[in-house]
Amino acid sequence: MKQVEDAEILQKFAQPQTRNEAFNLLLQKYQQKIYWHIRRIVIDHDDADDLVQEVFIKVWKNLSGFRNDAQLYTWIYRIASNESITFLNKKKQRNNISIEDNSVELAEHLTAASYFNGDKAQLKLQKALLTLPDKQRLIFNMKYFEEMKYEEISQVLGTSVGALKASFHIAVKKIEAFLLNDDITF
Amino acid sequence: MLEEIEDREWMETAKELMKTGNATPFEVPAGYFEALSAQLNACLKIDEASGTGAGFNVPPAYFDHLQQQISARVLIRETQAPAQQAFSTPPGYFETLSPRIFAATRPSAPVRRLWPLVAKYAAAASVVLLAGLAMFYSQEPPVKHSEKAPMVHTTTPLADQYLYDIDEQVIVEHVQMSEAEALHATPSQDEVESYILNHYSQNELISAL
Repeated sequence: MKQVEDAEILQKFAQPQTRNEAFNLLLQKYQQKIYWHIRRIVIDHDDADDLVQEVFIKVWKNLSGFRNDAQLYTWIYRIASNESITFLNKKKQRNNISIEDNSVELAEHLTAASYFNGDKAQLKLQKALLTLPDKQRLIFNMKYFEEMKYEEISQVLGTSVGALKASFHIAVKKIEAFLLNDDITF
Repeated sequence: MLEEIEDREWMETAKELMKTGNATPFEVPAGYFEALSAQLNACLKIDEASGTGAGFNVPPAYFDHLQQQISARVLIRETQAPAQQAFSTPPGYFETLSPRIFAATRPSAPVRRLWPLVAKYAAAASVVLLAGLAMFYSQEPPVKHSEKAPMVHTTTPLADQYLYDIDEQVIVEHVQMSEAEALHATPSQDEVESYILNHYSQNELISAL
């Protein structure tokens, strides 16, 4: 199926009679990307499902005010990233748990959830990722799994390219050290 | 180009990471993405139907003054909060407060003054009376001239002088006349009755009648 251009979606959304059609095109184009982006951050499928709905409701409400000086997908990614980080922070506050305890809880979700089909190495990688701060994990995910360029990540997160590079390299070193540690077994 | 070179650099240093690959190990329930569009559209309709403020109105210009009102309330709260914290009570104050209030509400015994106010006036009146008596008795009593000799039973020199001044015959007549009056005095009806009842028996009285 041919992907529709963002400009076309925006043009149709501006017309009241084609608004719903435009939004359906937008959903077809971005729903999976946004779901996986959120899922890698919050780990749990049900949480990701709730957040996807929240994100696209926000997109629907605010798309009429979207300015063309930014790309549509970076704008949607920014909403998704902010919603996910806010969700994790609220969860920590609600459960009154530290960052370390939150990592342990998310790691338990990894193995307990039925929607994980990775091997031992992938499980170890995911557990290594959970030791990183949320924003650093987000940067690593966007660069390593989603293969986004630093410029794109910079537009999404509003962080400079240099800061992103530094953060990513630190994350890679931490994960490599974690993976090389033979004491950590599953 | 630069980014590709940079990527190669970190990939060479992170060989263990590269072994795992970047495939997503997560799964979704079967048919999840097929139904996701319909699910999201349904969510939008629900959100629009139950949108915040739907069916409700606010007074005119409510939101124009809302921020000002909230700021004012925050200021009031901030000024109140430290004032409440600045005061403290002695340890265990509130534990003993109720019993103390309860004890204070009980009627207490009336307090009597040892020297009431009336005593002052009584004392003053006594002093005045004593002073008056003292003045009265310090004066010489007036000499009374009477035909009848006064019944003086005093042994003061002044009384004796009065007796010497009265004629002896007058005194004797006065005494005799007083005794005669006492003898000829008629008893009352009650005195007679009591005398008869005391000195005569009932039989004697019946026979006499």
